[in-house]
Amino acid sequence: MVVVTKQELQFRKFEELACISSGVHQLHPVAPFLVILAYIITLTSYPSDAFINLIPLTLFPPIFARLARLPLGLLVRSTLKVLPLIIVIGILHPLIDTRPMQIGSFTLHHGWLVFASLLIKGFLTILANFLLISTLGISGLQRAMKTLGLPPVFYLLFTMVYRYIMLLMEEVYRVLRAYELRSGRKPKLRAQEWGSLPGGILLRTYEQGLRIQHAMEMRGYSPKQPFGKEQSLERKDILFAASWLAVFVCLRMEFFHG
Amino acid sequence: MADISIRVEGLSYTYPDGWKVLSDVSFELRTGTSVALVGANGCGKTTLLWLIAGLLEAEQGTVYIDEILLDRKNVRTLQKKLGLAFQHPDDQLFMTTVRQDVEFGPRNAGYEEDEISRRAEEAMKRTGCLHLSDRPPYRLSGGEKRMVSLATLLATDAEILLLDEPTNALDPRSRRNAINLLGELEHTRLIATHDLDMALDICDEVMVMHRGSIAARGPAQLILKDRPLLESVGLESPLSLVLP
Repeated sequence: MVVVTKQELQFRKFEELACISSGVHQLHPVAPFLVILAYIITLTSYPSDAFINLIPLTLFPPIFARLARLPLGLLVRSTLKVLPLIIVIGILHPLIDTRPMQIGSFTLHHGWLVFASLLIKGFLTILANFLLISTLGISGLQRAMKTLGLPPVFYLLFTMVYRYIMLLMEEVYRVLRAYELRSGRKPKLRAQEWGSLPGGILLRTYEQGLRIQHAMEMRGYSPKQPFGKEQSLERKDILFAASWLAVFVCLRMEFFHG
Repeated sequence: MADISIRVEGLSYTYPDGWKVLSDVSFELRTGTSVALVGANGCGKTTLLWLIAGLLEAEQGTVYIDEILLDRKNVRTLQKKLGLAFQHPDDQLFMTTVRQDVEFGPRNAGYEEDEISRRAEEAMKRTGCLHLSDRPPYRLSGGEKRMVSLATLLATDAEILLLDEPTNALDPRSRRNAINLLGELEHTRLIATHDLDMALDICDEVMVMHRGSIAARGPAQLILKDRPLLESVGLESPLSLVLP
């Protein structure tokens, strides 16, 4: 199989995961949405060097993935692909912040602690976002945002960006596949091709986006109406969200008191 | 429902790059009839369907749907009477699963969940794609995508179907299934196609387009037997009429 096709199939995987039938998938979208939002807020609220305190929070993704029957390995692998970006952002900390710190019998620069903490926070935040999209899909996310009273423009913008990125990725993969098959299987583009290809890809994506929008309008789509089934909040949704929120609050309080 | 489902008068359209694709097109379609729109590539078939569907604004001329003038104000209302099957089903299928895609139209029409499910089930059953209901549309074969795209139209309240190359790129069995389905429908159908055998099979009339105009119109049997006419517009006689 051509390399880009493998990547293409993987990139579509998130949407397919949102169709799994698990207890978490059957909850009202607002419950997992709030839980993951609270998780991210808890995660990012710790001070920049609270490396040790972050460790209990690493348990959340495996537990959530287990409950939602999501393949954690796939989500972790996808998260690892974004990790270099976080490394680039945080790599200067150990060089700039050279204050010595004593951890047990080891002495190291304070910057290393900040860097490690940033790495974990970044990794877990991205992983949490992947968990969210794999649980709710685009329609669930829209429903959750609507239930929380966010203005339509917010979830409309979100949907447009998400859908455009999906189309763009598809078009990129299509062009790269065509390129790869006619370039003696050399996956890298030559410098002189970088000029024309992106322009063509963007235009084609725009046109396809327009056709899809037309198809949606022809079937009565209104931007104010989120996709998917109407659901009402039930006791199990509130219980799920409240339990996790309590866990996060306890962990955070522990930090203040401990 | 009016006697005339679609009335087009003096329709012209020029693309922004200056290509005049349609020039003074006029015709009408009686309710419940099935009319094939045939012509060489680039003669303006798709553009004509898009203009009728209100997706493009005509430079000149008017379109009436059920004898109501299509304009900017009522385009969304009149679009509810229309179902457009795009040339490429990939443009039409955008939800995560086939079921969600088929349910999309009835849901936007404001039906109750029970009715949405009933309509989707019925449309999927009718198009033979009920077994695909939980699959993602982008993983389907071309033929399956085509049938699902038809199901998305059948689940809505559309009374007029505008079908752009509905048998394009289908294998013989899928093509036959699509033809049988389209032949059974009670909707008014305008079918842009290169499949002249299908036109002969299921269409009451054929309209021949040539360089942005209607070159001829008449009963399918008559038009599709007119070899000089077909050859003059870059088409060939249907195989079923040529083969002994």
